[in-house]
Amino acid sequence: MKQFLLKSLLLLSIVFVSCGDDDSVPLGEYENGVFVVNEGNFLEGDGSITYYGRTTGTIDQTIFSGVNDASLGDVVQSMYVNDGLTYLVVNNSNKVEVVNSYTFESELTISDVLLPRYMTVSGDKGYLTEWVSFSDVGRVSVVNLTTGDIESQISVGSGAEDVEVVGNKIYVTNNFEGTMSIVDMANDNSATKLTLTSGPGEMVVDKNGDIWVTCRGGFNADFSPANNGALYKINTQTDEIESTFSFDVNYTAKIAIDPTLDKVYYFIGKSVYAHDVDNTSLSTEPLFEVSDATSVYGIGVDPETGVIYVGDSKSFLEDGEVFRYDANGTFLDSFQVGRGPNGFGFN
Amino acid sequence: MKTMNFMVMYLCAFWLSAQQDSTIYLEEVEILGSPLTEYSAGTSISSIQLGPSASVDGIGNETASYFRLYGNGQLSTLTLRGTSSSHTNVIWNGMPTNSPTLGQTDFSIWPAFLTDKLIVQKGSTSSLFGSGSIGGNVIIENSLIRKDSLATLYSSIGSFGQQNYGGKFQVNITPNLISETRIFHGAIENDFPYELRRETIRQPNARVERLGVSQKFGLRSEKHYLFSEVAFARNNRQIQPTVTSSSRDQLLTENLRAVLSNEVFFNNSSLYTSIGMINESTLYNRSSRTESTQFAGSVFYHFSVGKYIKSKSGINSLLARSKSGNYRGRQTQNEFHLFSSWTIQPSNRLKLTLNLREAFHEENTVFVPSFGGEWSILDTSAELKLKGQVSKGYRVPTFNDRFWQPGGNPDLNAETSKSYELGFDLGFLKQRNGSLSITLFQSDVDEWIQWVPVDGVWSPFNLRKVESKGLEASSNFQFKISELDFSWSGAYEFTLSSDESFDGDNQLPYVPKHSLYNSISVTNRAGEARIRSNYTGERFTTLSNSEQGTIDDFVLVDLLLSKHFKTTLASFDVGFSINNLFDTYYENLINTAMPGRNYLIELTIKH
Repeated sequence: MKQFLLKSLLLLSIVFVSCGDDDSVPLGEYENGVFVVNEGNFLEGDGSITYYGRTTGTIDQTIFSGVNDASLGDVVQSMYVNDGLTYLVVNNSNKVEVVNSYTFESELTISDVLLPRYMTVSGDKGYLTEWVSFSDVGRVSVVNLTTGDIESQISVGSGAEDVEVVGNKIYVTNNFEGTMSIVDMANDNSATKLTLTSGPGEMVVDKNGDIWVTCRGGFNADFSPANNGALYKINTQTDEIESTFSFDVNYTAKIAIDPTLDKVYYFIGKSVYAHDVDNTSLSTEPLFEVSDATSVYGIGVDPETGVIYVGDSKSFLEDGEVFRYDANGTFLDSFQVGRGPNGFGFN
Repeated sequence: MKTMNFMVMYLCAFWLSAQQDSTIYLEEVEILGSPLTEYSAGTSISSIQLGPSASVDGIGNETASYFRLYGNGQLSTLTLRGTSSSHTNVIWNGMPTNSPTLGQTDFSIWPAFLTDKLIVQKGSTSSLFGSGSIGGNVIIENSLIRKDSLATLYSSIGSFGQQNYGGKFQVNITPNLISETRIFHGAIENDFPYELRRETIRQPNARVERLGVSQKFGLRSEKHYLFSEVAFARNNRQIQPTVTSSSRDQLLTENLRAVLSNEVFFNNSSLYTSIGMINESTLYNRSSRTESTQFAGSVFYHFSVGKYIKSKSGINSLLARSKSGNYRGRQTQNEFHLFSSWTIQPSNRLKLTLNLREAFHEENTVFVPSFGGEWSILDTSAELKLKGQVSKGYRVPTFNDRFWQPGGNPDLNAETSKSYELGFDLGFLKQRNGSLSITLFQSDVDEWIQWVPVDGVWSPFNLRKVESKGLEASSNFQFKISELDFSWSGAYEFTLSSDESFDGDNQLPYVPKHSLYNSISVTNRAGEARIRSNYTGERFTTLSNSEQGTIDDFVLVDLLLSKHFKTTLASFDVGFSINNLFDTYYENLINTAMPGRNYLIELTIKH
């Protein structure tokens, strides 16, 4: 409470000072920076958000609980930063916390959801994936962005993971069943499925409107990794697989894209790779190695600066660390964050 | 309606006891063989009595040892001497009972009402009890005692919708054949209030319902003792979510166990055989079921030479099976042990124990010896006893470690440990109305299994190398002022536990450096008043020991009052307790709310 008051006062004073000599009124303490999603440990409710000031380099830990005097929950799977409002998707806590993007003050909590995973915004609607359970079929919930009410739900596949909206279609990776669901909103939400390899995860949309899909790879009957991770390029005009890039390993199905939507970034072990979206073959040389990391867990690219952020989970045994690299892969610096940094949001 | 239930129950009780009014009161005679702690000279052993409403995790309230509680009445595990919860072995009627799938025991499952005597043994004793006894043991000894009260009825009512009922009935079928039946049912809504975001909210989704039933038979003759127990526990609970979480999970656990043992006595020797079985089934969210069954067999020969030498040697055999949607089909693990234990007592002042155990597990063989001793230096008006032990320990990987799909690692090694302890017991007066014990310990655990994510999949590896050391002190005093007996007991534990495979000597997660227990009571013939307090030092959630991963320390104070009176028909105990007297908000596990001040009223009737 005291901290909250202090922060409010500080904020007020900034507003007053700034009003005099500048037209642009700061919207809040976290207006210009990078959010690190620290997922936290399962059942400990210690997921958190670390803020990194883009120009100031200031680091604030646990900003959600600092501002709102309540823990964020577990496992914070992802965040979506929209104009004014930011959506924090907390998987095991069965909720989405909606906060002011600039002050991080809690606006509302969407709690009638089951194992939510990822969210995106298109027009005035939010699209939120939910696993529902480990046995039920997953779904996409269409969210009213101002009230947080769920307006409709669309069944997709088992383990509904990442979601993107391109045109009138919703694309969802179904992590448990190795497919992608494509829902045509213009055609009564009719859904089709594309078969991919095992463990489809995060996606990004490139400058051509094509979707890049990561697939972790599967497991053999004797539990050993099947070493069949892959990266797909899906043409959203035809809704067919345009290119398949197969790896001979399993990897963490995470991906990021550069500010001009020309280049996708992914990592295998501690090696971070960059791939030009128009190239027909993958580079065998990594852009850089995060050699000081214990266990690379998440990746993000600042759409303003092109700086690459890599999260090291430190195997969840310690607080995580974030390493920063410029677009050429030159190491900039690193800083300590919360537990299990798995992704980033940019304001 | 509730009152009616009470009335009916108590009337039944009187009726039941009236049926047995011709029985002659017998003195309390214990009819069981040598205690399990006979061969562990040098370790720290404390016997704990728990109130009937508690689960076995109530041990945490009566010692300085730290239980990790995932909420009130929720999953509860015990770590001893800075190790992990799977390094505390739980022994029931001589059988190791830790879950083969998780490697640990959830102490909240078993109602304390089903147990007579709980022993917490700190120190490594794999040489006596096999896999998992690295930090220590909890020993549940259910000896049959020929009692003078043949029926006990218990009921209690408390805050947040708590209601407990229990009954114990002993029937002396013949002078040598005793039957004892116990039944317990407890439930709590657990909708306790706490402050969140400047509002008072009530804890959602934390209801717990517990059922426990046990049946024992003992048949004793001059040359022979046959014992059997069947016990069943059912725990149906909503899984208490962390604060701000709206998860609605639930878990149903059913545990059925049975043991049959037979001891044949010869001159200065005996032959003991036992077989036992444990079946545990857990159902998560009504859909995901895991089932495991353990079989244990034991044969050993026990002999003594005067009071100088005692020995038991024999074999243990363990077979565990488990089936889960997370494994590929049914999985099996086998263990076979050869052991020999010796106690040598050359004089009244010196006792030495040597334990040797060779354990064969899958393709691995582990040899775990231990050597301990107790030496009375002084035996005059004060008694001073030095004690110490060196031992090796081990723990085999669990089914989840080996077979979980995906990520399970079938190539894991067993964890191994070396432990040392040295201490003394000081008895202040010949009448023994005061004592002080201090023990220093060190354990080095190698190949400690840790789950870590690799390319998005969690897998266990023999990763950690942990050094744990510390000090334990306990003391008690009794004195009398006219008709009042005053009693104080206290315990303190100081534990430093660090992972040498990481930088620095930061404290392991969820190992408090300091913990303290205090109990002061005043007793007279009519009743007792007691104040109990527990201090738990700050704990960290990760090895970074950073501020964001720190859980604040806390003190809990409980006030317990009981009144005793007797009529010709029965004796009555009425209890009233206030737990968390100062209404402290505290977290045992990070972000998990615990109840503030709460009350319990209890009634026990014995006949």
